[in-house]
Amino acid sequence: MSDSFFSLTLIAVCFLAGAGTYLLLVGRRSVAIWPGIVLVGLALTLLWFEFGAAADWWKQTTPNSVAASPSFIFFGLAAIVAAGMTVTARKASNSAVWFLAMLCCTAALYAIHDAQFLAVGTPLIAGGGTGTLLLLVAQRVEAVGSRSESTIAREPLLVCVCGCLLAAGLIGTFHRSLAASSVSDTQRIPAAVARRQDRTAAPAGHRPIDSSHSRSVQAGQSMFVDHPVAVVILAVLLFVAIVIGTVLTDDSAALERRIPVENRLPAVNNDQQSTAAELSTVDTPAGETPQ
Amino acid sequence: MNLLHDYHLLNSSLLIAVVLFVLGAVGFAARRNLIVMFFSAAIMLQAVSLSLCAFGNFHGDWTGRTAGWMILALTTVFGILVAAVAVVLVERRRTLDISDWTELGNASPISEESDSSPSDEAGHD
Repeated sequence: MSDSFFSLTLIAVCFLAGAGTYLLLVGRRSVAIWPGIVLVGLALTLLWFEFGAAADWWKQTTPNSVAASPSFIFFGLAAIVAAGMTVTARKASNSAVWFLAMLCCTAALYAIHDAQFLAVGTPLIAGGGTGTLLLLVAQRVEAVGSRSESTIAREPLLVCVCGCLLAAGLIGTFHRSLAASSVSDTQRIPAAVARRQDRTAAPAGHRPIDSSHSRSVQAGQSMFVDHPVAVVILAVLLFVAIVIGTVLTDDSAALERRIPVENRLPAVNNDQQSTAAELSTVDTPAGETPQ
Repeated sequence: MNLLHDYHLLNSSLLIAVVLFVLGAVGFAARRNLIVMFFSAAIMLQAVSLSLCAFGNFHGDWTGRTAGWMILALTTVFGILVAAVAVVLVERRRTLDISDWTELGNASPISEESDSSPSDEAGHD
């Protein structure tokens, strides 16, 4: 069985399982649950039959392949598990923490793929900036509805343990990746660039990256010399997003001040606030309205 | 280990990217919480970025990694807007349920309240 056929089968399994899971989520307490069960069962059957082929395929993997390394397998599986927990977590704050874990795993995969700048930037920008900001927003909603059971839940402890393991693994992967790149850059990157130049002639106006430069120069040349328009467009988009975000939140505050007290949303006491927060964070599947 | 032209690394990375993308798509379609929907979309973007990095590494090209930076910036733009909209939703509705946007409409709450009669208000309640 060829690798491509095996990959296509696995992709089909993923799509069948995804569609079945969606139908199971949407169609609970309705007729749509049965197509979901059929699709998930079909995906599991395909996976079971492909298990032998997967073992053979894994044996054929060359020992020198990075795909067989424990770090790649660990971070790949951890990214999938963290993404699944992000999607299925009931509370938005737990989902945000799992999202940060998924970003750390993805950053390790970037480091394995020899993209160290992206590996550093993903946890810092997407995780530290965006993820933490939304975590704070989610906690603002849930603050009034915090209950005693949330403090003794197992999920925060599990997330802390997973976070420590991921951080240790990420640091180790960085060390290994940097050590490997410093040894093999002189042999690997020039040969790669030479092969690419031989295979396809550079288009007009395109200057191939000089591999004798450092990685910073190569990354900078790729961004600011080869793709300057995209960088400028993204900078403008970032500026516009910041302005729109500021205007939206400012208008919201001004609107709250303009509305007379008697026309505002009904004031809620503590019990109602906790109920509202619970409703806001435990959302409902598509097609259903919260009770 | 030679990363260049590592077919198995590319294959495995694409499989992980496909699984991540499917998970994100399912989450985006099934959930109604605004923040979780953003996380699902970001998972899909990370999957695309991972596949681009894998292809770029496979061909020994920097374009895939540069595209990963662009996707990261797009995720940040998306996150800023979602955070602003989430703040507005929380201020007005005290909820993060995206389905509440259908009730907001285009009319301001002042004109909507002043135009409606008491019987209409009772009907809405």
